[in-house]
Amino acid sequence: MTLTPRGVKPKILPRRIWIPLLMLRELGKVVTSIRLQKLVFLIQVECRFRDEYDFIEYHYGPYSESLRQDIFVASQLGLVRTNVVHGLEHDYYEYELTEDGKAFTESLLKMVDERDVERARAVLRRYGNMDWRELVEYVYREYMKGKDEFRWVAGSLREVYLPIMRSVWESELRRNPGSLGATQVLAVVEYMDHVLGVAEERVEDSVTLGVLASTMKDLTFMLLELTRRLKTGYVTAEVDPEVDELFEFLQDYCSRKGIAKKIGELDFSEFLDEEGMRRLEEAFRAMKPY
Amino acid sequence: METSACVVYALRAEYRYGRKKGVLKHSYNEIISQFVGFCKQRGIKLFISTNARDEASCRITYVINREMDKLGIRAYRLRNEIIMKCVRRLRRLFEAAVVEEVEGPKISNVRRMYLQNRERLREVSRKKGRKALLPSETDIKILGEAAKLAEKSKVIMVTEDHDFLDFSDEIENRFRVKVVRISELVSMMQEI
Repeated sequence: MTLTPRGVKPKILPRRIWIPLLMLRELGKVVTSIRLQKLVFLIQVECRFRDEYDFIEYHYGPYSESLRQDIFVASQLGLVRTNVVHGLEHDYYEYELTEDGKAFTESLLKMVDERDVERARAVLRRYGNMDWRELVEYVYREYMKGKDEFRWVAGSLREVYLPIMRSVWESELRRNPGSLGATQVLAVVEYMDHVLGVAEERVEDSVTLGVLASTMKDLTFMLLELTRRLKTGYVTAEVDPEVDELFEFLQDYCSRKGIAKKIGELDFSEFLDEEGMRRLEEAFRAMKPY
Repeated sequence: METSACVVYALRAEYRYGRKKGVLKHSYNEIISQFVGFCKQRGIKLFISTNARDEASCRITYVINREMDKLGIRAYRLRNEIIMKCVRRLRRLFEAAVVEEVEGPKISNVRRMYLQNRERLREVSRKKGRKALLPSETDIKILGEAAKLAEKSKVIMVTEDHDFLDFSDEIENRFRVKVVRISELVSMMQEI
């Protein structure tokens, strides 16, 4: 989706620009492009926003070229004022909204889900006061994983947590084959197992590995909580909406990074040979609906 | 529409297999889909009780998991994809129908009718591999609801369940509910 504010040609600014513009509205002035990049990265990752900026590993951690371009275009359109400040050690950028930019941001935010805006503001309250060094340190610690560190996280998930959850939820599904919730949890566990394998083998970018590790750790904790509640008689009609939301984010991220297809876009040939597919079709045709 | 008819309507999922695209579907899926469209066109009220609605969502997951187990297909991502496509279809059916709770279903009358036909009930239980003699509480309630509705209007119950099909004469005589299997809908639509 692209935006058409007054005086701005259509298809110039993508919808995602609401994130940096909201940040500038909330913080007033953002000093250094590093801080701008890291804060947008944190909003996007911690709010689990999908289909926005694509971050890759660069100097000082996650960097998005499309974010740099959006800010450049917004500056050209007179929405963002970009100043070069001559510092003692080196020059740096300083960003703030112009009056037109403030008006544009207000009208733009009306088109965004209020809950998304509130979540982004919560992230800004958490990290908005950190200077760029603190931010870089935090982002490195939480979201930049070298191959070895990722392997360690992947190992603990694959060897300990995923098998436990698979075993508990398979027995729940045997007990209650009509449980959509149990089927969904098992699909999430299987998906994570698959993603971990592919990422260990193919992914080199430490930002991608960091986002994957952090998301899968969070998802695992949520699933463990569901597993704990299952033991106290929790009924699994459908999967928890929070798990669902985080899982959607993970699928979207993996799909964009070419790591794994989303559930809903699977190629059945990855799971079944032609004979298996024929048998599945036949079983469907003759399925007893009771 | 009874639960099994809702399930048959929902049993349809498009898939991709390499370069090929296909559709997994129940052999009666097209008939029931046509019937739903037919009712909509003619303004015929398609009624689904809240009881049948709740049962259908659970049953979809149950029957697909059961068949996948039989085929030895463990892939949960695949199961989830198929189930979710069918569940979404089921939700669309509920949007197209009138989904309401029926006050005062004639449950004890239905139970009495079944108990007066124990021999046939045993036969149906054996056919369905069920340990209990009587149909499930939900099925008894669904029939009780249809019986209640039939006091005020003409009711045709669409089902694939032998707990109703094998007692169709008794159900029609006693409750004025006509029990119809999905395959009979083609001729019924022509008659209408």
